[in-house]
Amino acid sequence: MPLMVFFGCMFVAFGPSLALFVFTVMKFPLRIILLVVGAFFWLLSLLFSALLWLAVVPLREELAFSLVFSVIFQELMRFALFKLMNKAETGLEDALSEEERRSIASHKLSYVSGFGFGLMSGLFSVINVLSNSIGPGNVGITGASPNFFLVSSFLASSFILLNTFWNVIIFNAYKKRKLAPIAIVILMHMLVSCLTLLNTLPHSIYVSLIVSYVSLIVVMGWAFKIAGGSLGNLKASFVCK
Amino acid sequence: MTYCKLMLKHTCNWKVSENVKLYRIVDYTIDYYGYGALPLPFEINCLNSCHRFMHIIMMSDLVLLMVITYLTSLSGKCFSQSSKVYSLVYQDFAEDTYDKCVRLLNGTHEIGCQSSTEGNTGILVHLNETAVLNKFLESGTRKHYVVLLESSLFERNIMLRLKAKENVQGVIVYEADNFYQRAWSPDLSCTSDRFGLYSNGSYGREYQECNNGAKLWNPLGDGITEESFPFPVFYMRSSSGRDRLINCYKDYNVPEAYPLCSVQMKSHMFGAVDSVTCTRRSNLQNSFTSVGYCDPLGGMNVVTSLQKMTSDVSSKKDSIILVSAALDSRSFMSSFTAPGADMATGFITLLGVANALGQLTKTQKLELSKNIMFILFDGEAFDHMGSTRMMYDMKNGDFPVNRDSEKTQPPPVNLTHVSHIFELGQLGYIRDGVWAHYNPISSKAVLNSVYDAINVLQNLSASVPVQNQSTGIGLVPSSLQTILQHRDVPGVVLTDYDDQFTNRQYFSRFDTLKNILSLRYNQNTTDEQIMDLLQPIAQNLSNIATAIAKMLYLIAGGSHTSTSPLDNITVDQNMMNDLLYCFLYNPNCDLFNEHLPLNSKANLSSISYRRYTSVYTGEVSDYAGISMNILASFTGEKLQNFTECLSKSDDQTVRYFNMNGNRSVAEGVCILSSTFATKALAFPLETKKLQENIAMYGVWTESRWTKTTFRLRLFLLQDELSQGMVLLAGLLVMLTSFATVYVLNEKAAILFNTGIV
Repeated sequence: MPLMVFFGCMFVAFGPSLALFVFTVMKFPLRIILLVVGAFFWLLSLLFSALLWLAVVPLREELAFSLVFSVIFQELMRFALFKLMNKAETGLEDALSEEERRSIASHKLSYVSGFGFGLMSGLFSVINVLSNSIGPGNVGITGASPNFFLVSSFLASSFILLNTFWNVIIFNAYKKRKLAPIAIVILMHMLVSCLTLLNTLPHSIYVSLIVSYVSLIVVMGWAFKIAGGSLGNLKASFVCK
Repeated sequence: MTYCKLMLKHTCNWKVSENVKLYRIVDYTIDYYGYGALPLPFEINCLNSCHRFMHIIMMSDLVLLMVITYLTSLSGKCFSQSSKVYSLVYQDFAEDTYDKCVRLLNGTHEIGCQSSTEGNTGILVHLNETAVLNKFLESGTRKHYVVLLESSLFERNIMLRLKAKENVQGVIVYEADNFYQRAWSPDLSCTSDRFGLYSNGSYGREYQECNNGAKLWNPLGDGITEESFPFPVFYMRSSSGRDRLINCYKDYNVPEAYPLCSVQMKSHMFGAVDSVTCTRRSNLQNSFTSVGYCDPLGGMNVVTSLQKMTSDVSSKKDSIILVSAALDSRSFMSSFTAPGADMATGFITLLGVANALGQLTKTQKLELSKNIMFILFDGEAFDHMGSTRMMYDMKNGDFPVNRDSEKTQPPPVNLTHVSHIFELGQLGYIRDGVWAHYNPISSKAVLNSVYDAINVLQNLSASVPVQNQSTGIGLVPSSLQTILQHRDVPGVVLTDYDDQFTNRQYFSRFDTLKNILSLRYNQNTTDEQIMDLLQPIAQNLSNIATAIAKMLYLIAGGSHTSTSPLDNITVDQNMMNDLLYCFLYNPNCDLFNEHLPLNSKANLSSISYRRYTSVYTGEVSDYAGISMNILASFTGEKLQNFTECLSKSDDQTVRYFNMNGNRSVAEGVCILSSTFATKALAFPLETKKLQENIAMYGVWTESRWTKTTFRLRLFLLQDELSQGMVLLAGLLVMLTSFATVYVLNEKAAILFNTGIV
């Protein structure tokens, strides 16, 4: 039953995102719109990467080349997304009701649009892989790790969340015109993405997995702090009830 | 407002799923865009600005998605089976690296092989010795196996044992490097017995070979071609493909522990049960769509008259001599192999005879009191389809052309007009002499003229001894058997064997020039060397062909005086050499190029023609087409007037052939000849009256398949436990994330020091 692998991997890749969507996005129409906007901008970045890939014929076979430019395009689109959101935020002030305004206030906007951005990137990165997991075969005939599908799903999951938190951090940095966090986020994005190139090699598949999950924890903490959280709050939330 | 929210939720959910769907669709076809049927909610009239904004975003999203997916599918990298991820899982074998067995149907049975719709999957097991095979048959207990079988084990009994072991899902046959070609024939041991001369009632009961324990014509034949297998059987032609399979087996399956090297074989066939059922289904289906399940096998017989036929003279009794040979052959797998080299020497000799007699002048030909007709039968390997059809056409007055009162036609020929029949069978092993066969229980008068003819031949053939068949045997398997069922005519079959085939590889894939004629050559052998190797057999064949041509000349009433052309009738040995070279080694030769239709676009392949009859198209097949042109040019009249050659004529007594010639003249050559192509198709399939005819005639059909039917790929199979673990991991991740996010969301106010989320 190779379908077990397919569904297992789907749950791994999209379980966390589904939970986030169900509890934090689904109930708010405006957030759904922002999610789609974020997704749209990620798609735009993919379009530009694809066009570049199509244009530069000799480098088509070089994954690394496409990857580097794809990360650059993604970050450019994130900036464009920020600019648009910034404009929209001031414009929407008058149009929205109090309730609606509150639903996208402060970091919620960057969280939701980043979530959309990441969701689309995760979707594209993993569907292609998982379409081959339907069976009957499993990875390994060329020596790649048999856990390739599972690892790819975990990676996709981590990329969705990474993109979400990166978005929170970078939007905040753009707003406050701080250069350091912007640079760190972009470099991190580049580093984690480049490490996935190792996935098809036999034993290095776990390197990118570990690095991306370590980055995820760091970035999560950072974004938590930016969004107004602290260790004290965390403790309080457990003690309170 | 509630309505707005509802709509949004709906469209959003749809959006996410549509992304996925679009992606899948593009995976298969780009045409999807052409129909423009994207279910966009255009009809929803939105009052709220948020809706409109939403729609703009959604539509641009969709357009973007389409553009991107189009780009990627153009590149064919991302979603196709050649994607990087696909190549991590599967190793595909190109379709031309393996030969495959397909499904054929006759009146009562289905034979051949097929897979399930998705293809058969199994763990690879390598069987190269009988001991290994026996062990596997006893102890192989996994759910599904694909057997990699060494060629020497590939025979009917072993295949039937594998079939009986129900967990065998497919068989791949390969040849080891030191492979020794054993004597083996996949055809039946009592070949062409089914609708033969002695198959009905009590006539010639002692010669019903398989019933009465008489000698088998083809003792080495195990009849695997007529078996039906519920799984695919492939033959791995490429040695690198073979090594890949063997190495994969060695690396992963010895000792047997997961992950296991596995194979998927796909060869799904549409046809099933038998020709009757399948044709009925196809006809039903045809009234709704154009998809059918099977097509009739068949081709075209080629008929040439030595004397130019005219419409004003009707055929007289006993005025025609028929000289026939079978063109086609068959084998268990026939996509790439071109077996039947020994059989081919029959029609090659016939062409030589035609060449010699064709050189008589026009007056000399007309002086003959009997006409000579050359016939090349197609589809003879399938229950003598060609000769059976000729008899049917003769009975209806449709031979050699279909009756049409509006046209000028040659007089219809039937069996009463025929005085003698000479058939040329397998002649490859002619160095031991030639045997003349006949029906020993013909009437006395008929037998006398048979003996007379054989006597004439014996006297004329000095270098190749001609012997009478042994007593106590019936007529050899031949087209003559079909014809004699309709009238007792003097008929002789000339073959290289007496009471059983000399050919020890009849219709197997080894029945080629290389093995049958014991020629030793490889890729480095030059054309000149091949020509040299062919010399001895070409000489023998031209000797016997000369004798046959002279005999025909005499029997046809040619004069035997000092001024008669008898002594000038000879078959050029170089011509025989060329014919052998072109038909059995390399069709891309001068002789064939000269006989192609003028300015034809056909590029001759350099791989010898596979002479499997294949599906009936109403056109002559490649091998029959070139044979027809050669026959016409050998027997016909060379014209200087090219305008006639180009015009289409209502006169069906003759045909104009405009061929390349030796390319010195731009117009090529123009040949006028009474040459005809008649159907070699089982008539019940044409008249759609199958049920009442299956007891009397072979009605063969070939199952349909599609372009993507055949697939062979290698991969590793994971055990079910670890597959289950993946699912479990997924469920765990899902549950934990739902729990975590729920808790976090509930506590958001405290966590982020804000009010309500």
